[in-house]
Amino acid sequence: MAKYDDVKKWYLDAAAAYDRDDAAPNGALKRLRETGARRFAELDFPTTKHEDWKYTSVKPATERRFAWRAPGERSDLPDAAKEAFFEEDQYRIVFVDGAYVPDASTPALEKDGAYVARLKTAIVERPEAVERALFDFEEEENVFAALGAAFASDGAFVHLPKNAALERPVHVVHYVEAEDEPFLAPTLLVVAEENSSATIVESYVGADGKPYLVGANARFAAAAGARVTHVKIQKEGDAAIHLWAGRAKTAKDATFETFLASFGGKLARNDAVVRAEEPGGFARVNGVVALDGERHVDNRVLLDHAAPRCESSQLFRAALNGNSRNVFNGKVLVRPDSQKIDAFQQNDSLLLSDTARSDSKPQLEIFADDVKCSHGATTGQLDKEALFYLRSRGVGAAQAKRVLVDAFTANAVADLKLASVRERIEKLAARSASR
Amino acid sequence: MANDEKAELERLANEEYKYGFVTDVESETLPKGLNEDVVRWISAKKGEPAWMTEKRLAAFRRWTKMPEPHWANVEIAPIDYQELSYYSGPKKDRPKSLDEVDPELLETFEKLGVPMQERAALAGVAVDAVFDSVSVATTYREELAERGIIFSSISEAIREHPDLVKKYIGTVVPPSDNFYAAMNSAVFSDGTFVYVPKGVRCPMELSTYFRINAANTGQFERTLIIADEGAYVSYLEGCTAPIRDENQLHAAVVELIAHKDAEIKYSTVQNWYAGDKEGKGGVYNFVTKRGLCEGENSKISWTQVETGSAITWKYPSCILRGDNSVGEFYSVALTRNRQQADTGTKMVHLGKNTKSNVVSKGISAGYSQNSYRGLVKVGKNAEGARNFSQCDSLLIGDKCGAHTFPYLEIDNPSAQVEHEATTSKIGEDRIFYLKQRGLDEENAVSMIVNGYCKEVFRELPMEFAVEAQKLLSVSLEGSVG
Amino acid sequence: MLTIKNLHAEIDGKPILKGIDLQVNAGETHAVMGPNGSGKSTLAHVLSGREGYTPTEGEVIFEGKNLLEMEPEERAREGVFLAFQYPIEIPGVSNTNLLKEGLNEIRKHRGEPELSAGDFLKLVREKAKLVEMKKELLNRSVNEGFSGGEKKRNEIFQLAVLDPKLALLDETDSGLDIDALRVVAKGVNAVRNEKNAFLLVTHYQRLLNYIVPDFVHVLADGTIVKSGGKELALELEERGYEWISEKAESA
Ligand SMILES: Nc1ncnc2c1ncn2[C@@H]1O[C@H](COP(=O)(O)OP(=O)(O)OP(=O)(O)O)[C@@H](O)[C@H]1O
Ligand SMILES: [Mg+2]
Repeated sequence: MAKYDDVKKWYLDAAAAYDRDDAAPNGALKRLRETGARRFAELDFPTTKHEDWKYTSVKPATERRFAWRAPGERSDLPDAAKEAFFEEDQYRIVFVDGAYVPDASTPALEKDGAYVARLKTAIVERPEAVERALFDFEEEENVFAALGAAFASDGAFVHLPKNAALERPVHVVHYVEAEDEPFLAPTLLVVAEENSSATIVESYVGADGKPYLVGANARFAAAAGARVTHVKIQKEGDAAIHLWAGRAKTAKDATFETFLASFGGKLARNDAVVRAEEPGGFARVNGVVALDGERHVDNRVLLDHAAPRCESSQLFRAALNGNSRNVFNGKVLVRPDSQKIDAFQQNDSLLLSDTARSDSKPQLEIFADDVKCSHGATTGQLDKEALFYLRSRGVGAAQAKRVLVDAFTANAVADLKLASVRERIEKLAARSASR
Repeated sequence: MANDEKAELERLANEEYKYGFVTDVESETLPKGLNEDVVRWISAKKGEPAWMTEKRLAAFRRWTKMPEPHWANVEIAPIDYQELSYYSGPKKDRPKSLDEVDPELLETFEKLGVPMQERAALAGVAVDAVFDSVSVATTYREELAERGIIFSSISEAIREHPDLVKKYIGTVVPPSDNFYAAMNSAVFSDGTFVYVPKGVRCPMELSTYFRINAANTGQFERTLIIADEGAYVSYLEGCTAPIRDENQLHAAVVELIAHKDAEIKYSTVQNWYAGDKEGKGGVYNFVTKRGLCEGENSKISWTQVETGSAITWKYPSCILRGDNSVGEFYSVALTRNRQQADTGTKMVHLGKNTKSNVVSKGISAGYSQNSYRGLVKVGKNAEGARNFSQCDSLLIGDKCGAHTFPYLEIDNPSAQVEHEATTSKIGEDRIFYLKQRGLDEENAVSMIVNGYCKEVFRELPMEFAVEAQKLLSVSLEGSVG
Repeated sequence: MLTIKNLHAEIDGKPILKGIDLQVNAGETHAVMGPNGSGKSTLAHVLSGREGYTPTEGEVIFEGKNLLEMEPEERAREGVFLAFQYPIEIPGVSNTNLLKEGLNEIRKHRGEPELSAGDFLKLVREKAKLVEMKKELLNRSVNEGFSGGEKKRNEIFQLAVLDPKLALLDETDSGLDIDALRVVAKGVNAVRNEKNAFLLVTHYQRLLNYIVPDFVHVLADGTIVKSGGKELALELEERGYEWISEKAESA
């Protein structure tokens, strides 16, 4: 306990010092930081007795003290960061070691009324819009999300006014290779007004062998009829700790989808909460996990149906090699009087080595009767008959295995419309698990 | 009461006075509170040997250091354990005859088809004169004894088969297991002991007179069943009739041990008093049931139909240690009014090629909350483990809740584990179809629910299955519409 | 037996039936035809009292009683039987069990004693033979895992056992091969007598070759736009519904 108090003090002091020294004009962000710091101080680091952390120890994140790195700017761009780019990125925001890289990024964009910018710029140019995006969510329960919020200062901001449609994706790239064990806390804010639509891709890439901590926050507000697609491709270095918290809410007939692809990190955790606040919402939270070595990934999902006639779907697929570990902890919550809910949840894991491990906790918590909710979980090996079939057609054993593993994981991104992004995920999945 | 019995009680009463408390001899109820003296008194009352007293005391000491469990999905008013009495004999305010019994209860017996001669006993009418089942029991016991099967109360077994009891009791559910297991190990009242020797198939369901005995086993029941190599036994516990019972807290422990090639089938129908419509009163049923598939090719199968109790908290489990051993769990849990049930199973795969199968059917009505909580754990060395779980929930009415919390922990790559669950409202189009064929709403619902539970009922011995179906229909009355 | 007067009904506030008038007497067979979505199934469901199919105007008198006021099971017990267009599966509830319950309720309603287990079994066997139902289907769960044809046949089997006064057959012929159709028709014809009546909803003349109707009605957009004898069905087969709708419009 005392040890944890030390850790907390370390970050709280750093947050206070930063807030004091930061001269930038960032009113709304300052408030976010204050709330974040307060929540961080209030919440304990969870033990594995905590249901949401039953299979994931926070030790890797707390045993080391990562040094807060205030956002700045830099001009050079490592090749490894470039690899994350997509040709069709319409708008790109690039950070290397937490510093904004203007030369690699697109300047603030205004197209059909849509506004996309680096958060530090947006707070100056669109202070009210940022303000609106920040404070409409439930009190944070995840201590690391609170930690990230306590340092919130940069990242990306997307504002889609009524009927605005961005055809090509907004892409936010975070690349880390620093030696000095930094702590980074990027923030992504997406405000989609009535009937607007966009796709936002986040890439988190890092160099192996370098410890660092990412405490990222993302918030999405989809107004009536809006359609927001989010994709997160995470391939942090093998010594990195990556803790991401996404909070989304949907208004009447709005759609929010996220595809969470996890391939890296010593410890990586996604904590996605989608709350349907008005009737007719659709939420999809899918995940691809492909791991090797000592990697540990934990996906926690809560689909909160707080209004009637909503639909939701979760599909997580994991291929696990080496000593890797995967945790799925998903919940469908149907609140009283949220009738006519259709919710689906599925988690499938393939264990490809003798020492990989899978823990799964798919949950249904239903307080209304007129619902159709189902879930399933499977853990197993590749279908032997399918393997045999391929081999009998002349495909080598290793290749056949690869083909099947690839098909297995690809299934979770089948509904992702952007072909290039989907293919990138498929390729990374193939490379990450079936060496 | 016979004279010598009275004398014995008086002696005990005086003896306990020595320990510093008084007992009302007539009602034979201990004053409230739990301490070492109470534990000693219970042990002495049952004439237990010193080792058993010691075991109880050790469990008690353990218990004092344990925190009360924190309730996952159950709302519960705090229980003051020092406010309870830990031993109670027959109450003096029992009804003297059936005429004094609540007519509603009698009506339920009627609907369930409980035989006349059993009704009085179940309704709590002062026992002795009422039925002659004791002799029935004796006949059975003789027949069983011929085959070497021991079937007795656990108190009797402790006295007469101390070696067997000593060898097995607490090995599957150690007192340290959980708060209520520790409590039970310290103060258990009575229960059943079964031992089936090598190669013997028990020729009958061990249930015949248990409907009656169940009413008298007390609030801290303890059961121990051992099937030696190649043995088979099927045991039925509980009964469909709502048992009159004043005890609010029931904390039973059941341990099963199946040796090589042995099979144990354990079936339960639980219908303790569930409290009134507003949720006042009712039994808290906190049970620890666990079976150990100790030997190769052994099999343990749990089947339960749970309709009673204000709060139910139980997870009949299987430890699959022997290679090729099999664990099964079939459950129907129905909650209505303000009932809360949190039930499920744990299947722990340790041996090679072990298999488990889980079928759970939850039905929630009224304002009740019904949760399935289950664990499937495949250990590092459990090569070739297989599990399939199917957990369905049915909702009747829009004020109740149905929850599914499975945990799948897989540590061996050769495992095949599959969990499936659905939650839905009872199908209106099905109800309409049946109505179109002339059935009324209540009957239609009961038929659909019984159909939905068929997979579980199929696992029950014939007679029991019929009773269970009736019980479900009776329980659903008034839940519809 | 059945008098429908100016019957209007809606689903979810949407008017579907817009004034139906129909008289069915004992011993008669009526065929109801009409394009998809014209309201044929709706009529059958309204008559059998399905929730969500709300009558808004008009009346339905069955054997002197107001049918629309009755619960679905009361209608069934009074003798209204609906063979569903899409028979539902009910897992765990066996066919025979359902029939036993239903039949006893209906008999009770009629003031007849319950059938003994033996008599019931005899009846079931006899009727099963009539529609050539495979024995194993009797003890299976209602319609569960039945083929499309088997489901339809099962509906007619239930009809034969329950012996209603008025049978509403909603597209019982669709999905049946020609042999099955013949069997189903044989079943229906065997049940037909002077005391009962049939209302067949169908799209095809082929059923009417086997079960010859006394009257044919054409339903379009919620009203009966034309009625006639059995020749009308033949004419429809040849000329389609267009012809009638046009005529109705010009009229
Ligand atoms: N449950 C419902 N909710 C909303 N609309 C419905 C519902 N059931 C039927 N309808 C609508 O009512 C109209 C009449 O449907 P109905 O099923 O009675 O047609 P039908 O004449 O039987 O057609 P078919 O020949 O295709 O069986 C259609 O427009 C249909 O879409
Ligand atoms: Mg139709």
